[in-house]
Amino acid sequence: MTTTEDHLAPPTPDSDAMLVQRTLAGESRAFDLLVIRYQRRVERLIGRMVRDVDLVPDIAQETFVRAYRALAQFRGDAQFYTWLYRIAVNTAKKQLLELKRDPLVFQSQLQSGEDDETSSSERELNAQVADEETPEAVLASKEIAAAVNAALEALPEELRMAITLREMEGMSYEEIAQALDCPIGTVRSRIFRAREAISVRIKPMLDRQSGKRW
Amino acid sequence: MNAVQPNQPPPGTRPAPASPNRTVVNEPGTELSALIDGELDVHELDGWLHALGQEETLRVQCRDYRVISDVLSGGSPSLRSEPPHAFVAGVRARLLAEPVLDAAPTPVAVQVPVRAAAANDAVFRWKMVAGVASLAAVMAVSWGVLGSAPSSSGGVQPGPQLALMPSVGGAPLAGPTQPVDPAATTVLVNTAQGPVLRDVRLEQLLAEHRQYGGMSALQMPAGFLRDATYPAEPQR
Repeated sequence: MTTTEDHLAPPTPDSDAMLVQRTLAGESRAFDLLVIRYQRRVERLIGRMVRDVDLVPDIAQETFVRAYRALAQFRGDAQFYTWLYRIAVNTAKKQLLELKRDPLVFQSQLQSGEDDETSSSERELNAQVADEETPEAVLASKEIAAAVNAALEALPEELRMAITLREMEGMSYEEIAQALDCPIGTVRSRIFRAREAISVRIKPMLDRQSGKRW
Repeated sequence: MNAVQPNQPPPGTRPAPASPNRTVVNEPGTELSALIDGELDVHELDGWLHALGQEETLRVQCRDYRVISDVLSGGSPSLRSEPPHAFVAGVRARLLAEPVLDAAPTPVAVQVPVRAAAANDAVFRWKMVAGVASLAAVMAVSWGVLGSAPSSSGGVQPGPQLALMPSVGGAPLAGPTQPVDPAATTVLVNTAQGPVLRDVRLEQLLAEHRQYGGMSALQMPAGFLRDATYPAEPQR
């Protein structure tokens, strides 16, 4: 394989604002990309509010549907995720209220809907959620987390920096490229190779856990 | 060249373990990594979403990447997250069920507040009383307006004018339509203050209406008003 950045360099990914504009112009694929971009963040947020993990995908999808309906009201004053975050919280709260009216749902399935991103850290909340998992799931989760962190430490500096900026700082590829002073294609490649290197370490553990509820 | 063509990812292609020193772009699999970050180009999206739906190996790879993302972003790993193609399909299905965006705003029927029927609406005599009262009010107003309006000939109504016209011995003097020679009614009188031109008609008018000017209601009456109420006899 050759280094072909000149011809095969991937196009600069669209920013959130551009994807919003393209969606409003009628390009539905642009909204799909926004959905994929924020799916996991929204799911993690909702997962902190709703303990029944089976409800999380449903509420997350409803969040994006509501966002799509209200997309014309997004003026770009705030970041897209900030706007989406508020919709997700409101959607989850509404779902929680509906659940409270449903007598078939146990109260233990509900968690306070007043959690705020600024009021409690994600780690603490995830620890609370983990407390309700089975001991095996908790142990597996800890093993995987330890393996990921160990693999991260073993990465070369450039790969570790790229994946850290992406996953821990939440920076976009363009922002990482500016921070590291390299092309976006290089960022994309480094993140991919970092993930592959970590994936090799955790794959056996993940395959053992496949099919289990955790 | 082993580059992946957009929209047609090689199914089942799992790249070789990372080689830290390479900075090659478009390695096989970079698109999937970019896809879960939402950093893929829009035009490449359909092909990869379709490939995810077809290839189990790609879904497993996607799952691994997301678990890594969950751990590094501070959360607990979850294997239960829907893969991107399934999640996007779910959102699309919901949107198709309720298409709202770009739809013209539905005109909202304006509800005009309608007053509820009165409690005595069915009683006819109340309506009759109201009608008679309204008619009486209209007649009263019309009577007043027509009574004060000028006559059709354009002249002035005689009633009000008679009170204003001076009279001599109970008979009205000549009306305003009759020309009066000012020189015939004025008399030059020599007084101590000098010659004063006096009007006979004015003297008669003051003699008849002197009761009105006996005392002014004003706190500081004007001098000319007090002078006009002097006795009718000429001052000589």
